[in-house]
Amino acid sequence: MKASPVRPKLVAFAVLAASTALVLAGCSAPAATPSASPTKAAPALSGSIVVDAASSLTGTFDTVATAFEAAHPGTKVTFNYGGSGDLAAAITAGAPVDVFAAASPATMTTVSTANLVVGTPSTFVKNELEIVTPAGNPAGIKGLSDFAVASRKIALCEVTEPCGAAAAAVFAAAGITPLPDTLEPNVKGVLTAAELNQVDAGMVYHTDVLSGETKVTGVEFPTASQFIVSYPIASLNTSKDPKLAAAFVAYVLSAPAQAILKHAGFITN
Amino acid sequence: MSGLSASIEVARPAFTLALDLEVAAGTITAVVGPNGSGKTTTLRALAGLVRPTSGRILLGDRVLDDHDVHVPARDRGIGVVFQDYLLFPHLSAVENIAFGPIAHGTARPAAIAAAHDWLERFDLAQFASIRPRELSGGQAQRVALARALILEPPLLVLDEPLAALDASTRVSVRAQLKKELGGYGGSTVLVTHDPADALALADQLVVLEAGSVVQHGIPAEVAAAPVNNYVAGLFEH
Amino acid sequence: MRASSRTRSPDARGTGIPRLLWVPAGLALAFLVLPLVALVAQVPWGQFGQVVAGSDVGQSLALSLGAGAAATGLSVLLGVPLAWVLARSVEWNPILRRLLRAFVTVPLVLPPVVGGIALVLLLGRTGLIGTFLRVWFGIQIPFTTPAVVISETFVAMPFLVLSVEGALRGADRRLEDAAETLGASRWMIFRRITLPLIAPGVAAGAVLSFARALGEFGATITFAGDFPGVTRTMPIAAYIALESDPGSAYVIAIILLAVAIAVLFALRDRWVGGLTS
Repeated sequence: MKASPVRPKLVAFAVLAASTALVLAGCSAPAATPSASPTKAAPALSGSIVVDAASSLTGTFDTVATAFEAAHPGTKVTFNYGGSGDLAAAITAGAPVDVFAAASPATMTTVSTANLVVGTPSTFVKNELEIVTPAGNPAGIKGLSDFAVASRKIALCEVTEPCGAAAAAVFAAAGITPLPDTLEPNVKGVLTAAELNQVDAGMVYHTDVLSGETKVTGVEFPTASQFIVSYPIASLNTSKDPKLAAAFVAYVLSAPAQAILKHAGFITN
Repeated sequence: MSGLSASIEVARPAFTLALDLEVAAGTITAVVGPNGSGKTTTLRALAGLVRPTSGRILLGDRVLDDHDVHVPARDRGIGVVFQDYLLFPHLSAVENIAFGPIAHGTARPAAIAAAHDWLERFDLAQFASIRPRELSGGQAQRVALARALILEPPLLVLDEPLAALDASTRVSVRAQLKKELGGYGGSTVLVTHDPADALALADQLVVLEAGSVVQHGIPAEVAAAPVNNYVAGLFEH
Repeated sequence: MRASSRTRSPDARGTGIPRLLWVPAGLALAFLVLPLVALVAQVPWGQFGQVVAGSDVGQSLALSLGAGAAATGLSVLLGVPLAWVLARSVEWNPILRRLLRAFVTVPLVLPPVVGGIALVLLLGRTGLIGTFLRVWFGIQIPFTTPAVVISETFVAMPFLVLSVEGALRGADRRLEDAAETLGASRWMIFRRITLPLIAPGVAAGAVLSFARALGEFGATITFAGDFPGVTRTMPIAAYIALESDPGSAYVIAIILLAVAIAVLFALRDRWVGGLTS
């Protein structure tokens, strides 16, 4: 299932938020984060980098990149979204990527075990799982136990993907055996299945429910807060432009980017 | 069985075929003419594979074709031996012969047994389970004849039955054909471009040129008094 | 032809291939063969048995073979009559004929994922026909094994149809005339004369359809989804395995390669005859 495109409204708001943040950042005390203040005449960054990002970051990260590029004219950030497991495998197989933003520490570990990570990965956001249903919840899904009903059409992430692993942990803790009808290679696939009313319910992140806007309805479940997923980000030592890569990582951890991410529904520091 | 009474008219691109044929039971009429004269069309019209533009085909007391009647080929019960014989390549000789009876509802064992009888009659018993491609021209012709005759049709039409054979085999096969047709009680129409066939086999001869009959009669008499150059040329040795 | 100084039959020709063509020809051959060589070289042969015995590979293989056979069977049942119509439509309006042929050929040139999307739009829960199936009969096709068979049939049937159509065109229709004069009904002619004569074309088409059905990925994963034992065919299993267990993926790949070779062997010299006659 394909990823959804960037929402124009979100971009407009985010640019406004970013600009506001930039102005405020310039006026307030210097931030504790190591990002260079954009209003100071820092040595100009330029070049382009490729960022592999978990599919749950689709759209939101584009907005962050736009803000980054606006702050550093002459730079270009390109994204490759996908299931974090898929991306990690590609990176360890030698894909030329500068930054990796994963949806779980486990998938980042795959890459760091292969000695491809610069320094230590930093957690930049967290995400909470949420049940997603087609708009209006036509099948009347109430909670986790509905996932064990055979007649329901259920989509889940592959268990080797962070969303799938997290969902498996949730179900295991609740003592429920889910009966999925299809396993998607990434979380956007589950979201699309719900958007198109191909399934009655799926398990995605809170951010995905928000990005689905009116096409989906979210159903929260009580234990979600016990299974919060951490997203690590790191630049890779195979990067051709380590300075720019590091700058982008730093930017993601900085207030303007965090504001964008928070607006999209991520849990920020 | 009583005979064939046909008055056939078929519009063709180059000409209109128009001929009358009266063939009594037990007799053989040869239709001779150059290629493109309408011989094959005549045969296909008799067989029911082509519907005449007008005319009437009467076989015994059955109307096969009239202005408001056209009995389809599969219901005519006319035996046809095609040029190239058209034996079914994937069936053995005995299966080819049994095909007609089976199509008419005879149980397979009975049909195969009857087919074996015909192979015996034509001295082909040892070729029963042989495929057509392994038969000689003369053997294939006899199988094709048996395939048609097993249904005891009131009318038998043969399309250039000896054309596929080389000159040396033709003479002996022609003699055999005469013998086999001798035992057949229905009307026979033999279409050929070779006058030797007519002289050897036929009781009546019809000469066709560009769709029209130019002469007809007993072969010997036609040969003696040809009406035009083409007919004369036919009987020049 | 003058005999050359080498010991060669005086009538033998040289190959006539300009030496310059050997280079691109050699490159082309390398391009096709080397990836397969690399595949064979990289397979963890030592663990082959345990990978197959352990994991879902056996399950996926059984599913792939079963669904592929079903798709081929369906293709033959539906495709032979269609091929008949195509072959015998010579007397029809030429525009109608060309349209008919275009529709039959579309799945051959359509990207498989597009085919999958189209199937979803037709037979999905909210699809053109799917809606009625669900509301009237409670039948939901996506995410089931029949959905796999449908996806595979969609992409595989054109191979069967075109192969059989070629055979039908090459068949001698006068044999059907002969059968007709012997009193055979149209059905008997089809069953006893035409079908046996086109059997090689049907066989060649069936083998090609089977191979295509086995390899189908895009339409299957889009329409039928992916779940072990139900819809996870071999190609999908390989794709999934690649990220978590590459060795498994290589084993699956080798098995599929072996099946492909078996298919080619089954076709042998029928390859040209069945398809292009």
